[in-house]
Amino acid sequence: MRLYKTVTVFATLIAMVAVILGFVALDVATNRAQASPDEVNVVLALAGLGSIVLGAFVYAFSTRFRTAGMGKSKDESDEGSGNG
Amino acid sequence: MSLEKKDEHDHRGWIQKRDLTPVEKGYLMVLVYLDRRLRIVDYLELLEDLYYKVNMQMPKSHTEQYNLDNKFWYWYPLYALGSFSTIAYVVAALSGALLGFYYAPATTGDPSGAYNQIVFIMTDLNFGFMLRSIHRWAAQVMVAAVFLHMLRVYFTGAYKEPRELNWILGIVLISLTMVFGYTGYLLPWDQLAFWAGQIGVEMSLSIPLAGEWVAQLLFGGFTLSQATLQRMYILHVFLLPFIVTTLIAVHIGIVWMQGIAEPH
Repeated sequence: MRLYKTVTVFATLIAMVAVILGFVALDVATNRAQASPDEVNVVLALAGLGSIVLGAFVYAFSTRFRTAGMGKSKDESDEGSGNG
Repeated sequence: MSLEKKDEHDHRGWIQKRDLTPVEKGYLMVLVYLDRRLRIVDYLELLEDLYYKVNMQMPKSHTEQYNLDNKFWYWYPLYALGSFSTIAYVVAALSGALLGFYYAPATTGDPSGAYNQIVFIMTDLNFGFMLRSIHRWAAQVMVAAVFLHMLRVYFTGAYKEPRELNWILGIVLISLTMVFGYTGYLLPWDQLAFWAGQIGVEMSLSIPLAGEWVAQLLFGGFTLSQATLQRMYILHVFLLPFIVTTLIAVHIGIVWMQGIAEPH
């Protein structure tokens, strides 16, 4: 249970920050989608996209770890319910 | 519960004994590393504990007492309309408070000061268009939800004994909701508002005996003027908020105490 909380809290936090910063970076790079194609900051735009994808990955990956009682898609849960 | 360190779950040992892929292991290691340094989870657990302890101090609601959460009818969608109107009311209150920073109830000037402020909010103010739209939509949704809520209560017979008092209160609330809507409708002081105000004055005047008195009281005269707009403004942002908020609290309090009427 405790490890599950660690994973949920920190993964969600990291994912949120990464996605928001990703969108901010994307906005800056494209001047809020107003920039013409040749004045787009490609590196920053890709970094923003990368950050969004990273955030999505961190969040999605956190769903692999479950605690007792949540059930697991394939086998049993990761932890016993003893220390919750 | 305190922030003092407890007999901690052996994260590392647990990670070692599981058959994890390198990615899973690295992922967990990073999160555990952060957890060791930023004890956010501990503070959240503290809040969770506080929440339950505060809850224990509250008297039991009807729902808890008779364990009604496990009844399917409790989750019928139409039973959410009351909450829905409350949420709309809160949204309207918040957006309205923000709009209040920019609005002024002035009929002077051509177009009027009030209308100029509306134009300012809609065209120049950052997020102003959105803010006013939210306020308008919240108002529309609230009127609709309150009306449907009334239909639901009527057709499920929820107004019957011992809930007559709350039904009457609801009638008062739906009336006040419409007064809220009407006073807000006049505030832009455009053609729509002006002639709606004119209709209001004439409707007041049509009341037998008390008509002239009512028109004077509500509209500040028999023709529309600065006094009319000022009164509508004060009704909308001062008088009604206090009255309606209080009545909603009482209305919900009674529901909380008596419980939701079961459908028959």
